[in-house]
Amino acid sequence: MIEGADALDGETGAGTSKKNRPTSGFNHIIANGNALKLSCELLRNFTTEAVQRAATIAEAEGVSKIEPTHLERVLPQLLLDF
Amino acid sequence: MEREEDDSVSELLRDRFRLSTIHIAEAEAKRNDMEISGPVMACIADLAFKYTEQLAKDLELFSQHGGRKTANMEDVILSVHRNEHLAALLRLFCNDLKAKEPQSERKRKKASKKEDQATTSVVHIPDS
Repeated sequence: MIEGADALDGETGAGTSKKNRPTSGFNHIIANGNALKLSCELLRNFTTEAVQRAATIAEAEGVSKIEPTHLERVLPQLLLDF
Repeated sequence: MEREEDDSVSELLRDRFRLSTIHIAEAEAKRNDMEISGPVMACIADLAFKYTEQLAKDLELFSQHGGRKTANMEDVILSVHRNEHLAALLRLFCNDLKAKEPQSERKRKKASKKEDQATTSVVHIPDS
C-alpha cells in the first residue's frame, strides 16, 4: 500500500525533474524519502565500521592514534564486506 | 553554462558529504577513546563518496529492472544482500521507518505530502 503511494510520488517528482532539466544527461530515477534515509544509515555504518576496525588494529599495536597504516590493514576486508 | 553550474553544485554536495563523513568518523573515534589522523579521515570520506556513487548506480539499475521510476527501500537492502548481517541491520532500520509512518488514510495523506516536499527539495538542489 505504502509503496504504491511512494511510487506515485516518485513519478510526479521524476516528471517535474524532467520538465526542469530536459537537456541534461542525468537519469530521472530518484530515490524516495525512506530509501534515502536507509542509504544514509548504510553509509553511516560504512564509516563507523571503517573507524572501528582501524581502531581495533591501533589498539592491538598499543597506540592511541589511528594512522593510515591501520586503515590499510583493514581496507581489503572492509571493501569485501560492503 | 548549465554544465558549469552542475559541476559547482556537485562539488558543493561532495564537500558537504565529506564534512558529514568526517564528523561521523571523529565522533566514532571519540567513542573508542582514540585519536584519528587527518589523512585517515580524508581517506574514509573519499571511500564513502565512491561507495555512494556505486550505490546510486546499483539503485538505478535495480529500480530500472523492476520497471519503476523510483528507488525504494527494498532496492537498498538488495544492494547489500551479500552481507547477511548488514542486510539484517538495514531490514531492522527499514521496519522502524515503516512503523513511524502510520498506515491510516488520514495520516498517509499527510505523509505523502511530506514526501512530496522531500522529493521536490531533492529535485531542486541541482537547480539552485
